[in-house]
Amino acid sequence: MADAQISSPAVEAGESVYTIAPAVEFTLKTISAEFADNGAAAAWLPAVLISSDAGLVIARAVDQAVQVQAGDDASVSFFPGVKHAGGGASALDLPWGMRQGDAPTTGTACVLGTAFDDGPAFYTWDAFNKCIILHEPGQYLMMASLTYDETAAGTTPANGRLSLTVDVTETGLSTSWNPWFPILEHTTQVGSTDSAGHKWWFCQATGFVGFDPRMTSVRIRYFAGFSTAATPDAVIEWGIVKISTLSATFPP
Amino acid sequence: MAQPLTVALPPGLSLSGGCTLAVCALDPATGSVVTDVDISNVTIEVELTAGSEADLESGPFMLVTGPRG
Repeated sequence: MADAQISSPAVEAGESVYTIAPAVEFTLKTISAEFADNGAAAAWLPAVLISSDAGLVIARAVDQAVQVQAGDDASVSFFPGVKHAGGGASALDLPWGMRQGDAPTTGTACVLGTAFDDGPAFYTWDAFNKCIILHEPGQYLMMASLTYDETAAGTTPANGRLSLTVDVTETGLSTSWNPWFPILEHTTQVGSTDSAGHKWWFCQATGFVGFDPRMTSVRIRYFAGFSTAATPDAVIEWGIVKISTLSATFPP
Repeated sequence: MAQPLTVALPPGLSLSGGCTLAVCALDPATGSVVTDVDISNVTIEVELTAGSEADLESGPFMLVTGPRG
């Protein structure tokens, strides 16, 4: 049979109800309606409640993501095949943190005493152990850089070593262990010369850290030094490590 | 100005006499009808499978007649 339309121009407070006559049977195709806010205290959802002849609700055509703010009006179309609107596009807002330290003693962990963070800290800086402690599960990207120069022209220092080691502290698993996993190491050879003829070196490296929700914390230690201990021929100017949250869940 | 919105209906839903369609505004938290929202100009498009077009009229809902096809 051909399609048919029925329409009501009446203004109804709260709901407009259509009751199917006894002799009628049809396949529902579309519904269109105007919604005018008339003092609603909070946001609301446009909907169609479909009830049987026994008065029981057999379906609710409603989408939590299709919400109208109090005070607003809406012209709503209801028809099959509409995709769920979802939660609405939300800006990616994953936290990041960055710390910088200068003039650390060679052969020891870098003291990253200066923080540049985005909003609430998702980590803690342990000044005594010189560690970044992550508290939230997720996947993180670690980026570290190191800049150093020779103390006197021509005194090329031994290779510098930039490393980030990850100490995993776990509870809730059958085994408790906390080794240091070096997640990256890099030796640098790139250099340039300043006006005093001193060579400068810069190196950087990146690595990923996965924080399983079964863990209680993950510690990250930034070690910047030289392969030869107590090398006096170079000065570490500054080190920087940046932590970016890639995913707030793990696995991502 | 009314914002245009779309919401999904169950596909291929066959309804018979006694069933009701209530176009309404619902509270997102409780699911109860929000009475402070007025509903108007409700138009329902159906594919009639039993009965006559005239039988579709019910309460304030009138058959929309006019040129077809």
